Amino acid sequence: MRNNEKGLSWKNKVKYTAYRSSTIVILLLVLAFFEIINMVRGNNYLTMNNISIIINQASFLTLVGLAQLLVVLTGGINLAIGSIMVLVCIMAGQTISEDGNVFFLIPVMIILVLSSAIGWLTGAVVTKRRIPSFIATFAIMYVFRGIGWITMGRSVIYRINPAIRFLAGGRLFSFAGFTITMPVVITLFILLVLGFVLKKSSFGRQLYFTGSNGVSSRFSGVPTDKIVMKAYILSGLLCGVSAVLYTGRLNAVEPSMYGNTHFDAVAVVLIGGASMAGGRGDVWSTAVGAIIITVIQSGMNSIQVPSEFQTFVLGVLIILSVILNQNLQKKKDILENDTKD
Amino acid sequence: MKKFLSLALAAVFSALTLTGCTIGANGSSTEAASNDSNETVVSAGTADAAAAGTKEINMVFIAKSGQLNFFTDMMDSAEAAAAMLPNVHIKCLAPETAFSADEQIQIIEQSINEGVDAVICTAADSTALAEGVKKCNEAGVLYVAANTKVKEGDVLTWTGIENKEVGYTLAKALCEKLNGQGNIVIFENVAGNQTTEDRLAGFKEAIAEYPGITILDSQPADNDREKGMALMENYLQKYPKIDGTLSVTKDMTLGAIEAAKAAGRNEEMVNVTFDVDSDVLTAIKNGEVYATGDQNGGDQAALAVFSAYEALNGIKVPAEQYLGVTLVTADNVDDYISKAS
Repeated sequence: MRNNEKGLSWKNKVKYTAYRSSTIVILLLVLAFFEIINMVRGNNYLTMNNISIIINQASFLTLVGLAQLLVVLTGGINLAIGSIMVLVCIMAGQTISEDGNVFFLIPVMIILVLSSAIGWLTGAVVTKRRIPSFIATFAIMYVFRGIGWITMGRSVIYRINPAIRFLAGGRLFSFAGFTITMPVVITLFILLVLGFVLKKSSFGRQLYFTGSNGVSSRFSGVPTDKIVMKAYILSGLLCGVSAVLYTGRLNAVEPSMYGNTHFDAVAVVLIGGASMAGGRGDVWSTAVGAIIITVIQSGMNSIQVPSEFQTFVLGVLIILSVILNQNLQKKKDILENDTKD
Repeated sequence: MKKFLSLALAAVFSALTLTGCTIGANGSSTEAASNDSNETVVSAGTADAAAAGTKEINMVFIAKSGQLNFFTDMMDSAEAAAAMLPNVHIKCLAPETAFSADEQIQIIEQSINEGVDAVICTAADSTALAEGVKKCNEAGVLYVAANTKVKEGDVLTWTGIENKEVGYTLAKALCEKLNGQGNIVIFENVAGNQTTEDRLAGFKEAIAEYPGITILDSQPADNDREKGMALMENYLQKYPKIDGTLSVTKDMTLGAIEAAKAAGRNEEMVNVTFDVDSDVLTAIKNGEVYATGDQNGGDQAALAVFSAYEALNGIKVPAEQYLGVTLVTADNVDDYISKAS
């Protein structure tokens, strides 16, 4: 993509870079907004300590965002993210709890294997039975949530294996008030690996191609079903990783948990500039999208927006940032097309 | 032939069930039925006539959700209460979508159709369920409001607690524990939920009696563990010293405790919350939560069943029946733990 910049005047180059990083522009705007209001009130919002809290919170949201992104890239949507996360934890059962006293890798492996298998199952329903992903994952969401209720009933698993809790909240080191935590490191690692796979591997390129134009990619010899299947399996695997980290963070498993996670994930992906039509979106913008949502939430807390307004403000900000993102993307496309002539 | 056989079988079964119902209540009619067992149609008729003398009562109990412990406990208690009463049959139902007033009204219509004598309902929406009450009134079926009042219509009685009183009791317990001195933060529900708004009003009323107690902040976390945890992280970042937390429901408190523990500040504060589940009880046992409130949902359901029974037998029932809220602390938590197991 980078060679699109060639042939632009320096002025257009600056514009192009701004358009290309539209999500970062939105993030800066949102940060400036809350910082200014806080400054007027005599507070400092952007302290090192607060930034590290925001990044730590956003690392969890990033993971579910990535799980959603993989499916969104195929042109689908995964509504079952939250219920997959709950179900795999319930299946891991007492092995995940402190009382279970099992080496932490055993429940982690159970969760990751199960969630990948569920991803495979979802992919199979979508590709083999040709059921639209919205319907398939919508139904699966209810089925899994139901299995969760049937198996767990009223019980709550409270107190999770300390090693898993370390994965989800361990503080590694801090300098000048900024703390690096385990989930941040894990998320960063996944971002690097997944970013590389999507941009450089043939699977990644074929995934973008399949998502942006399924028919033409099929006719040019891309095994589209296989590609979509792999995307669902990876999405399931990421649900598993999120399940381990979220559960460790909250120190509990309850069948009602993560009821809205699939929508949070959609919001992250949309603010991150992905297109629900498929074929557009990348991992780093998704991470920035997660940071934006976290900043909006914590910013509203910091300026004490009354509860009646918080839901409203969040909705409006999501729409505004998606509109802004689309405009910037469009301008970027125009610049790109100009140079090709 | 098959049709005839199934008809005959149906006649035999209905005769058996009907005679079964009257055993003990009216011995002579049972004898009459068994004497005529060769002619099933006739015996069924005799049993029917006998049953009219002892008055069978059918009730339906409608919960707000079939998934929350609080409501499943209520359903269990309603069943247990009905089992204590002679000739009372109860069906306990819940809408498939939790807190769906629409589905509750559908269940009411269906029950009226099946010929129930009393509808006991925990209204998901005080305004919307007025429609359900109207339908009951028109059909001459008793409507008993358990837990939640209905704004309009002819309701036999209401059994429940005053949520403002709940809030008042909880906040007072916290203020007393802090010796009337300290800074506290509050966890609200999403705006517009009457139950939690009332509890909040109760909080504020009690806190107003203690001039030494300051409310640092009061913000929503949508009854969600993850959001409670994120909100607490923001509170902790903003306020160097928090002496106590108050929450309208338990999930937010349990999330907040995890945040305080992660920041190493869980020792500095006293936590007061509401609802009794195994995880809260464990947290009280471990000294992480100081107190929670139990609104005795089971008693509300049982009292509603008894009231319906009394009214159907011509006894007058008061229009409003208040039940107290019980404060659960380390002193009496063991009773609850043994009850749960």
